[in-house]
Amino acid sequence: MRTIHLANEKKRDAQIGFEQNRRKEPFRSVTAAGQTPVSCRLLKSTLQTAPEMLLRKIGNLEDALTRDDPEIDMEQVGRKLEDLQKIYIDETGAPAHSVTRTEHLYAIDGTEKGCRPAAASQANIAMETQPVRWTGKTFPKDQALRRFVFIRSYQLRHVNGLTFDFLFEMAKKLSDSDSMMLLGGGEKGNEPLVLSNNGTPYRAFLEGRVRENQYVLIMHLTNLELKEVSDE
Amino acid sequence: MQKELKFTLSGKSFSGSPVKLEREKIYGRSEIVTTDRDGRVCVSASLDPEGTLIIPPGAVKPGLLDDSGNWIEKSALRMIDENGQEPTAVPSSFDGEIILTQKVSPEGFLDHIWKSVYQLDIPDLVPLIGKDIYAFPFSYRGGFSADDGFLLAANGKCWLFTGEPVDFPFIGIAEEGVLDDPDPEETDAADDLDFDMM
Repeated sequence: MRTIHLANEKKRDAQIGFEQNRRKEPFRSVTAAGQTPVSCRLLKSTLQTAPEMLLRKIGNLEDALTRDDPEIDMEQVGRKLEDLQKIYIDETGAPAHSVTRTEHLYAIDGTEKGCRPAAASQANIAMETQPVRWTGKTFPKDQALRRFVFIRSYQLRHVNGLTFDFLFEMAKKLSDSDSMMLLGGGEKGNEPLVLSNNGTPYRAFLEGRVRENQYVLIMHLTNLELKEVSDE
Repeated sequence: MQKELKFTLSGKSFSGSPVKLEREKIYGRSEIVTTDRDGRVCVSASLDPEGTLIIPPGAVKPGLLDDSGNWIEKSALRMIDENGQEPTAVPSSFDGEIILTQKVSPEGFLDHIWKSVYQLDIPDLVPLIGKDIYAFPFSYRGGFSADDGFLLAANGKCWLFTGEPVDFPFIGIAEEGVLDDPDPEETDAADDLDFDMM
Protein backbone atom coordinates (compact mmCIF):
# COMPACT_ATOMS: atom_id res chain seq x y z
CA MET A 1 0.00 0.00 0.00
CA ARG A 2 1.41 3.39 -0.99
CA THR A 3 2.06 6.07 1.61
CA ILE A 4 0.60 9.53 2.01
CA HIS A 5 1.65 11.95 4.75
CA LEU A 6 -1.56 13.69 5.75
CA ALA A 7 -2.35 16.42 8.29
CA ASN A 8 -5.78 17.13 9.74
CA GLU A 9 -7.37 20.49 10.49
CA LYS A 10 -5.49 20.67 13.82
CA LYS A 11 -2.23 20.20 11.89
CA ARG A 12 -1.67 16.78 13.47
CA ASP A 13 -0.06 14.59 10.84
CA ALA A 14 0.51 10.89 10.20
CA GLN A 15 1.75 8.49 7.53
CA ILE A 16 -1.14 6.42 6.25
CA GLY A 17 -1.84 4.16 3.29
CA PHE A 18 -3.87 4.57 0.12
CA GLU A 19 -4.92 2.17 -2.62
CA GLN A 20 -7.10 1.87 -5.67
CA ASN A 21 -9.72 -0.86 -5.57
CA ARG A 22 -10.38 -1.77 -9.18
CA ARG A 23 -12.76 -4.62 -9.91
CA LYS A 24 -11.65 -7.64 -11.88
CA GLU A 25 -12.44 -7.40 -15.62
CA PRO A 26 -15.61 -9.45 -16.27
CA PHE A 27 -14.32 -10.77 -19.61
CA ARG A 28 -11.01 -11.94 -21.02
CA SER A 29 -9.67 -12.86 -24.44
CA VAL A 30 -8.62 -16.44 -25.20
CA THR A 31 -7.31 -18.27 -28.25
CA ALA A 32 -9.40 -20.81 -30.15
CA ALA A 33 -7.76 -23.47 -27.95
CA GLY A 34 -8.83 -21.61 -24.82
CA GLN A 35 -5.35 -20.33 -23.93
CA THR A 36 -4.80 -16.89 -22.48
CA PRO A 37 -2.46 -14.99 -24.82
CA VAL A 38 0.70 -13.36 -23.51
CA SER A 39 1.41 -9.73 -24.40
CA CYS A 40 4.79 -8.89 -25.85
CA ARG A 41 6.66 -6.16 -27.70
CA LEU A 42 8.54 -7.04 -30.86
CA LEU A 43 10.98 -5.13 -33.02
CA LYS A 44 9.31 -4.07 -36.27
CA SER A 45 12.14 -2.21 -37.95
CA THR A 46 15.55 -0.71 -37.20
CA LEU A 47 17.15 2.66 -37.64
CA GLN A 48 19.12 1.39 -40.64
CA THR A 49 15.97 0.20 -42.42
CA ALA A 50 13.89 3.33 -41.78
CA PRO A 51 12.66 4.92 -45.06
CA GLU A 52 14.77 8.09 -44.59
CA MET A 53 17.93 6.05 -44.02
CA LEU A 54 17.26 3.84 -47.06
CA LEU A 55 16.69 6.91 -49.25
CA ARG A 56 20.01 8.29 -48.05
CA LYS A 57 21.95 5.05 -48.47
CA ILE A 58 20.49 3.61 -51.67
CA GLY A 59 20.43 5.61 -54.89
CA ASN A 60 17.67 3.73 -56.69
CA LEU A 61 15.45 2.56 -53.85
CA GLU A 62 12.63 1.43 -56.14
CA ASP A 63 14.87 -1.12 -57.86
CA ALA A 64 16.44 -2.21 -54.60
CA LEU A 65 13.02 -2.85 -53.04
CA THR A 66 11.87 -5.05 -55.95
CA ARG A 67 15.20 -6.88 -56.17
CA ASP A 68 16.00 -7.44 -52.47
CA ASP A 69 14.54 -6.71 -49.05
CA PRO A 70 16.63 -3.76 -47.82
CA GLU A 71 13.72 -2.58 -45.65
CA ILE A 72 13.98 -5.68 -43.42
CA ASP A 73 16.85 -6.45 -41.07
CA MET A 74 16.54 -10.24 -40.95
CA GLU A 75 18.84 -10.47 -37.92
CA GLN A 76 16.85 -8.08 -35.75
CA VAL A 77 13.21 -7.91 -36.85
CA GLY A 78 10.89 -9.96 -34.67
CA ARG A 79 13.22 -9.76 -31.68
CA LYS A 80 11.39 -9.66 -28.33
CA LEU A 81 11.93 -6.35 -26.52
CA GLU A 82 11.99 -5.81 -22.76
CA ASP A 83 13.42 -3.25 -20.32
CA LEU A 84 14.02 -0.58 -22.94
CA GLN A 85 15.65 2.68 -21.95
CA LYS A 86 14.52 6.02 -23.29
CA ILE A 87 17.09 8.06 -25.23
CA TYR A 88 17.02 10.95 -27.68
CA ILE A 89 18.41 10.73 -31.20
CA ASP A 90 19.22 13.47 -33.68
CA GLU A 91 18.16 13.56 -37.32
CA THR A 92 21.03 11.25 -38.33
CA GLY A 93 19.92 8.66 -35.78
CA ALA A 94 22.88 9.24 -33.48
CA PRO A 95 22.28 9.55 -29.71
CA ALA A 96 21.89 13.17 -28.68
CA HIS A 97 23.76 14.49 -25.63
CA SER A 98 23.06 17.43 -23.31
CA VAL A 99 19.51 17.84 -24.55
CA THR A 100 17.28 20.76 -23.61
CA ARG A 101 13.56 20.21 -23.14
CA THR A 102 11.26 23.14 -23.83
CA GLU A 103 7.53 23.18 -23.19
CA HIS A 104 5.53 24.99 -25.87
CA LEU A 105 2.09 26.16 -24.75
CA TYR A 106 -0.85 26.37 -27.14
CA ALA A 107 -4.21 28.09 -26.65
CA ILE A 108 -7.51 26.34 -27.36
CA ASP A 109 -7.51 27.69 -30.93
CA GLY A 110 -4.06 26.16 -31.54
CA THR A 111 -2.04 29.38 -31.46
CA GLU A 112 1.23 29.24 -29.53
CA LYS A 113 1.09 31.26 -26.31
CA GLY A 114 4.72 30.91 -25.37
CA CYS A 115 7.33 28.48 -24.17
CA ARG A 116 9.28 27.72 -21.02
CA PRO A 117 11.87 25.22 -19.86
CA ALA A 118 10.14 21.89 -19.25
CA ALA A 119 10.24 21.06 -15.56
CA ALA A 120 9.94 17.58 -14.09
CA SER A 121 7.29 17.42 -11.38
CA GLN A 122 8.31 16.00 -8.01
CA ALA A 123 6.08 13.73 -5.94
CA ASN A 124 4.80 15.67 -2.92
CA ILE A 125 2.46 13.35 -1.07
CA ALA A 126 4.88 11.47 1.17
CA MET A 127 7.46 14.12 2.09
CA GLU A 128 8.55 13.79 5.70
CA THR A 129 8.59 17.51 6.46
CA GLN A 130 5.60 18.61 4.37
CA PRO A 131 2.38 16.74 4.97
CA VAL A 132 -0.55 17.08 2.61
CA ARG A 133 -2.86 19.53 4.35
CA TRP A 134 -6.53 20.25 4.77
CA THR A 135 -6.90 23.64 3.11
CA GLY A 136 -10.11 24.47 4.95
CA LYS A 137 -11.89 24.92 1.60
CA THR A 138 -14.93 22.68 1.51
CA PHE A 139 -17.35 22.01 -1.30
CA PRO A 140 -20.81 20.47 -0.80
CA LYS A 141 -20.61 16.99 -2.29
CA ASP A 142 -23.40 17.53 -4.83
CA GLN A 143 -21.70 20.74 -6.02
CA ALA A 144 -18.23 19.23 -6.26
CA LEU A 145 -19.39 16.37 -8.48
CA ARG A 146 -21.06 18.90 -10.81
CA ARG A 147 -17.95 21.07 -10.99
CA PHE A 148 -15.03 18.64 -11.32
CA VAL A 149 -14.39 15.40 -13.18
CA PHE A 150 -12.70 13.05 -10.74
CA ILE A 151 -10.18 11.20 -12.87
CA ARG A 152 -8.88 8.87 -10.16
CA SER A 153 -10.08 7.91 -6.70
CA TYR A 154 -8.10 6.21 -3.94
CA GLN A 155 -9.23 4.81 -0.61
CA LEU A 156 -7.22 5.89 2.44
CA ARG A 157 -6.53 3.27 5.08
CA HIS A 158 -5.16 3.40 8.63
CA VAL A 159 -2.00 1.47 9.52
CA ASN A 160 -2.47 1.21 13.30
CA GLY A 161 -4.93 2.08 16.06
CA LEU A 162 -3.86 5.71 16.32
CA THR A 163 -4.26 6.37 12.61
CA PHE A 164 -7.67 4.64 12.72
CA ASP A 165 -8.91 7.36 15.09
CA PHE A 166 -7.19 10.00 12.98
CA LEU A 167 -8.93 8.95 9.75
CA PHE A 168 -12.25 8.03 11.38
CA GLU A 169 -12.56 11.57 12.76
CA MET A 170 -11.84 13.06 9.34
CA ALA A 171 -14.40 10.79 7.66
CA LYS A 172 -17.01 11.63 10.31
CA LYS A 173 -16.51 15.37 9.98
CA LEU A 174 -16.84 15.23 6.19
CA SER A 175 -19.77 12.83 6.34
CA ASP A 176 -21.65 15.01 8.86
CA SER A 177 -21.18 18.10 6.69
CA ASP A 178 -21.90 16.17 3.44
CA SER A 179 -18.96 17.97 1.89
CA MET A 180 -15.53 17.39 0.37
CA MET A 181 -12.33 18.99 1.62
CA LEU A 182 -9.72 20.36 -0.77
CA LEU A 183 -6.24 19.03 0.03
CA GLY A 184 -3.03 20.90 -0.75
CA GLY A 185 0.61 19.93 -1.05
CA GLY A 186 3.91 21.77 -0.99
CA GLU A 187 5.42 24.13 1.55
CA LYS A 188 2.37 26.34 1.88
CA GLY A 189 -0.12 23.52 1.46
CA ASN A 190 -1.79 25.11 -1.56
CA GLU A 191 -0.21 23.23 -4.44
CA PRO A 192 -1.76 20.40 -6.47
CA LEU A 193 -0.78 16.89 -5.44
CA VAL A 194 1.75 14.92 -7.48
CA LEU A 195 1.61 11.22 -6.65
CA SER A 196 4.88 10.19 -8.30
CA ASN A 197 7.92 11.84 -9.83
CA ASN A 198 7.13 13.20 -13.31
CA GLY A 199 3.46 12.59 -12.52
CA THR A 200 0.51 14.76 -13.42
CA PRO A 201 -0.45 17.42 -10.84
CA TYR A 202 -3.99 16.92 -9.55
CA ARG A 203 -6.29 18.85 -7.28
CA ALA A 204 -7.39 16.44 -4.55
CA PHE A 205 -10.59 16.29 -2.51
CA LEU A 206 -11.34 14.13 0.51
CA GLU A 207 -14.74 12.51 0.86
CA GLY A 208 -15.78 10.73 4.06
CA ARG A 209 -18.44 8.18 4.94
CA VAL A 210 -19.14 6.62 8.33
CA ARG A 211 -21.21 3.61 9.43
CA GLU A 212 -21.15 2.70 13.12
CA ASN A 213 -17.46 2.04 13.90
CA GLN A 214 -16.34 1.85 10.29
CA TYR A 215 -15.33 4.51 7.86
CA VAL A 216 -14.54 5.17 4.21
CA LEU A 217 -12.18 8.01 3.34
CA ILE A 218 -11.69 8.61 -0.38
CA MET A 219 -9.21 10.91 -2.06
CA HIS A 220 -10.69 12.05 -5.39
CA LEU A 221 -8.24 13.53 -7.92
CA THR A 222 -9.11 15.92 -10.71
CA ASN A 223 -7.40 17.96 -13.38
CA LEU A 224 -10.53 18.72 -15.36
CA GLU A 225 -13.50 20.97 -14.72
CA LEU A 226 -17.02 20.43 -16.01
CA LYS A 227 -16.94 23.43 -18.35
CA GLU A 228 -18.71 24.05 -21.62
CA VAL A 229 -16.72 22.96 -24.67
CA SER A 230 -17.19 23.80 -28.33
CA ASP A 231 -18.14 20.92 -30.63
CA GLU A 232 -15.86 22.21 -33.45
CA MET B 1 -23.89 14.55 -39.36
CA GLN B 2 -23.05 13.75 -35.77
CA LYS B 3 -24.80 10.79 -34.21
CA GLU B 4 -27.44 11.58 -31.61
CA LEU B 5 -28.35 9.90 -28.35
CA LYS B 6 -32.04 9.67 -27.55
CA PHE B 7 -33.32 9.97 -23.99
CA THR B 8 -36.78 9.56 -22.49
CA LEU B 9 -37.69 11.15 -19.18
CA SER B 10 -41.19 11.57 -17.72
CA GLY B 11 -42.73 10.43 -21.01
CA LYS B 12 -40.92 13.08 -23.08
CA SER B 13 -38.24 12.37 -25.66
CA PHE B 14 -35.03 14.31 -26.11
CA SER B 15 -32.00 13.92 -28.32
CA GLY B 16 -28.55 15.44 -28.61
CA SER B 17 -25.07 14.80 -29.98
CA PRO B 18 -22.41 14.09 -27.37
CA VAL B 19 -19.27 16.25 -27.44
CA LYS B 20 -16.31 14.73 -25.61
CA LEU B 21 -14.92 16.77 -22.72
CA GLU B 22 -11.14 16.99 -23.02
CA ARG B 23 -8.51 19.05 -21.26
CA GLU B 24 -7.14 20.66 -24.39
CA LYS B 25 -10.61 22.00 -25.29
CA ILE B 26 -10.68 23.92 -21.99
CA TYR B 27 -7.09 24.70 -21.05
CA GLY B 28 -5.21 24.36 -24.35
CA ARG B 29 -2.31 21.96 -24.68
CA SER B 30 1.43 21.80 -24.33
CA GLU B 31 4.11 20.03 -26.27
CA ILE B 32 7.68 19.25 -25.23
CA VAL B 33 10.33 19.92 -27.87
CA THR B 34 13.79 18.47 -27.25
CA THR B 35 16.89 19.95 -28.85
CA ASP B 36 20.55 18.98 -28.73
CA ARG B 37 23.45 21.29 -27.80
CA ASP B 38 23.44 22.72 -31.35
CA GLY B 39 19.73 23.52 -31.19
CA ARG B 40 18.68 20.70 -33.53
CA VAL B 41 15.38 18.99 -32.77
CA CYS B 42 15.73 15.47 -31.38
CA VAL B 43 13.21 12.66 -31.19
CA SER B 44 12.61 10.12 -28.48
CA ALA B 45 13.88 6.61 -29.19
CA SER B 46 14.67 3.45 -27.21
CA LEU B 47 17.84 1.58 -26.38
CA ASP B 48 17.89 -2.16 -25.70
CA PRO B 49 19.20 -3.33 -22.27
CA GLU B 50 22.56 -4.37 -23.77
CA GLY B 51 23.02 -0.90 -25.24
CA THR B 52 23.68 -2.34 -28.69
CA LEU B 53 20.55 -1.38 -30.59
CA ILE B 54 18.88 2.01 -31.01
CA ILE B 55 15.20 1.56 -31.74
CA PRO B 56 13.62 4.49 -33.60
CA PRO B 57 10.11 5.76 -32.75
CA GLY B 58 7.35 3.59 -34.23
CA ALA B 59 9.58 0.53 -34.53
CA VAL B 60 8.07 -1.43 -31.64
CA LYS B 61 5.00 -3.53 -32.31
CA PRO B 62 2.85 -4.79 -29.45
CA GLY B 63 1.59 -8.28 -30.05
CA LEU B 64 0.19 -11.45 -28.56
CA LEU B 65 1.81 -14.87 -28.32
CA ASP B 66 0.43 -18.27 -27.37
CA ASP B 67 2.03 -20.65 -24.86
CA SER B 68 4.43 -21.93 -27.53
CA GLY B 69 5.53 -18.44 -28.51
CA ASN B 70 3.54 -18.36 -31.77
CA TRP B 71 2.12 -15.08 -33.03
CA ILE B 72 -1.63 -14.67 -32.56
CA GLU B 73 -3.79 -12.30 -34.60
CA LYS B 74 -6.26 -10.33 -32.48
CA SER B 75 -9.06 -11.37 -34.82
CA ALA B 76 -8.44 -15.02 -33.86
CA LEU B 77 -9.28 -14.35 -30.21
CA ARG B 78 -12.65 -14.76 -28.58
CA MET B 79 -14.06 -13.25 -25.39
CA ILE B 80 -15.25 -15.34 -22.46
CA ASP B 81 -16.70 -14.47 -19.08
CA GLU B 82 -15.53 -15.88 -15.74
CA ASN B 83 -17.59 -19.05 -16.35
CA GLY B 84 -15.93 -19.62 -19.71
CA GLN B 85 -19.08 -18.63 -21.62
CA GLU B 86 -19.16 -16.23 -24.55
CA PRO B 87 -20.91 -13.03 -23.44
CA THR B 88 -23.97 -11.70 -25.20
CA ALA B 89 -23.31 -8.76 -27.49
CA VAL B 90 -24.51 -5.36 -26.30
CA PRO B 91 -25.87 -2.90 -28.90
CA SER B 92 -24.58 0.66 -29.23
CA SER B 93 -26.53 3.15 -27.13
CA PHE B 94 -26.94 5.25 -30.29
CA ASP B 95 -29.13 2.48 -31.75
CA GLY B 96 -31.85 2.69 -29.13
CA GLU B 97 -33.48 4.96 -26.61
CA ILE B 98 -32.10 5.53 -23.12
CA ILE B 99 -34.98 5.56 -20.67
CA LEU B 100 -34.13 7.57 -17.58
CA THR B 101 -35.79 5.91 -14.62
CA GLN B 102 -33.05 4.85 -12.20
CA LYS B 103 -31.79 7.59 -9.89
CA VAL B 104 -28.58 7.16 -7.90
CA SER B 105 -27.09 8.87 -4.86
CA PRO B 106 -23.97 11.08 -5.13
CA GLU B 107 -21.99 8.19 -3.60
CA GLY B 108 -23.33 5.75 -6.20
CA PHE B 109 -22.08 8.16 -8.86
CA LEU B 110 -18.72 8.89 -7.23
CA ASP B 111 -17.81 5.21 -6.86
CA HIS B 112 -16.65 5.03 -10.48
CA ILE B 113 -13.55 5.51 -12.59
CA TRP B 114 -14.53 7.57 -15.61
CA LYS B 115 -13.53 6.52 -19.10
CA SER B 116 -15.18 9.47 -20.85
CA VAL B 117 -17.33 12.50 -20.15
CA TYR B 118 -19.52 14.07 -22.82
CA GLN B 119 -21.39 17.36 -22.99
CA LEU B 120 -24.94 17.24 -24.35
CA ASP B 121 -26.66 20.43 -25.41
CA ILE B 122 -30.29 19.59 -24.60
CA PRO B 123 -31.66 22.72 -22.81
CA ASP B 124 -35.18 21.32 -22.31
CA LEU B 125 -33.85 18.27 -20.46
CA VAL B 126 -31.77 20.26 -17.95
CA PRO B 127 -34.67 21.43 -15.71
CA LEU B 128 -36.28 17.99 -15.80
CA ILE B 129 -33.08 16.37 -14.51
CA GLY B 130 -32.64 19.06 -11.84
CA LYS B 131 -30.48 17.82 -8.97
CA ASP B 132 -30.98 14.16 -9.85
CA ILE B 133 -28.42 11.78 -11.29
CA TYR B 134 -29.73 9.08 -13.61
CA ALA B 135 -27.95 5.78 -14.22
CA PHE B 136 -28.19 3.41 -17.19
CA PRO B 137 -26.02 0.94 -19.10
CA PHE B 138 -24.06 2.68 -21.87
CA SER B 139 -22.03 1.43 -24.79
CA TYR B 140 -20.67 3.89 -27.38
CA ARG B 141 -19.96 1.39 -30.16
CA GLY B 142 -21.59 -1.78 -28.87
CA GLY B 143 -19.53 -4.80 -27.84
CA PHE B 144 -19.41 -7.40 -25.14
CA SER B 145 -20.25 -5.28 -22.13
CA ALA B 146 -21.82 -1.95 -21.36
CA ASP B 147 -20.20 0.65 -19.15
CA ASP B 148 -22.07 2.37 -16.36
CA GLY B 149 -23.55 5.56 -17.78
CA PHE B 150 -24.80 8.55 -15.79
CA LEU B 151 -26.61 11.71 -16.82
CA LEU B 152 -26.64 14.86 -14.71
CA ALA B 153 -27.23 18.56 -15.29
CA ALA B 154 -24.71 21.32 -14.51
CA ASN B 155 -23.89 24.76 -15.91
CA GLY B 156 -26.97 24.73 -18.14
CA LYS B 157 -25.88 21.54 -19.94
CA CYS B 158 -26.43 17.83 -19.62
CA TRP B 159 -23.32 15.74 -18.95
CA LEU B 160 -22.94 12.06 -19.76
CA PHE B 161 -20.35 10.18 -17.67
CA THR B 162 -19.29 6.67 -18.66
CA GLY B 163 -17.06 4.47 -16.57
CA GLU B 164 -16.61 1.38 -14.48
CA PRO B 165 -17.54 0.84 -10.83
CA VAL B 166 -15.00 0.82 -8.01
CA ASP B 167 -15.52 -0.64 -4.55
CA PHE B 168 -14.85 1.49 -1.49
CA PRO B 169 -15.64 -0.85 1.41
CA PHE B 170 -16.23 0.42 4.96
CA ILE B 171 -13.22 -0.48 7.09
CA GLY B 172 -12.99 -1.09 10.81
CA ILE B 173 -10.08 -0.87 13.21
CA ALA B 174 -8.97 -4.47 12.60
CA GLU B 175 -8.59 -3.93 8.86
CA GLU B 176 -5.41 -1.94 8.94
CA GLY B 177 -3.16 -1.63 5.92
CA VAL B 178 0.56 -2.26 5.54
CA LEU B 179 2.70 0.41 3.92
CA ASP B 180 5.01 -0.49 1.02
CA ASP B 181 8.62 0.54 0.91
CA PRO B 182 8.82 3.94 -0.76
CA ASP B 183 8.73 3.19 -4.51
CA PRO B 184 7.01 5.66 -6.78
CA GLU B 185 6.12 3.14 -9.44
CA GLU B 186 3.43 5.03 -11.35
CA THR B 187 4.74 7.57 -13.79
CA ASP B 188 2.80 9.83 -16.07
CA ALA B 189 3.89 12.05 -18.87
CA ALA B 190 4.22 15.52 -17.37
CA ASP B 191 3.01 17.17 -20.51
CA ASP B 192 -0.08 18.87 -19.18
CA LEU B 193 -0.60 22.53 -18.49
CA ASP B 194 -0.54 23.57 -14.87
CA PHE B 195 -3.98 23.11 -13.40
CA ASP B 196 -5.01 26.21 -11.58
CA MET B 197 -8.74 26.14 -11.15
CA MET B 198 -9.02 27.60 -7.67
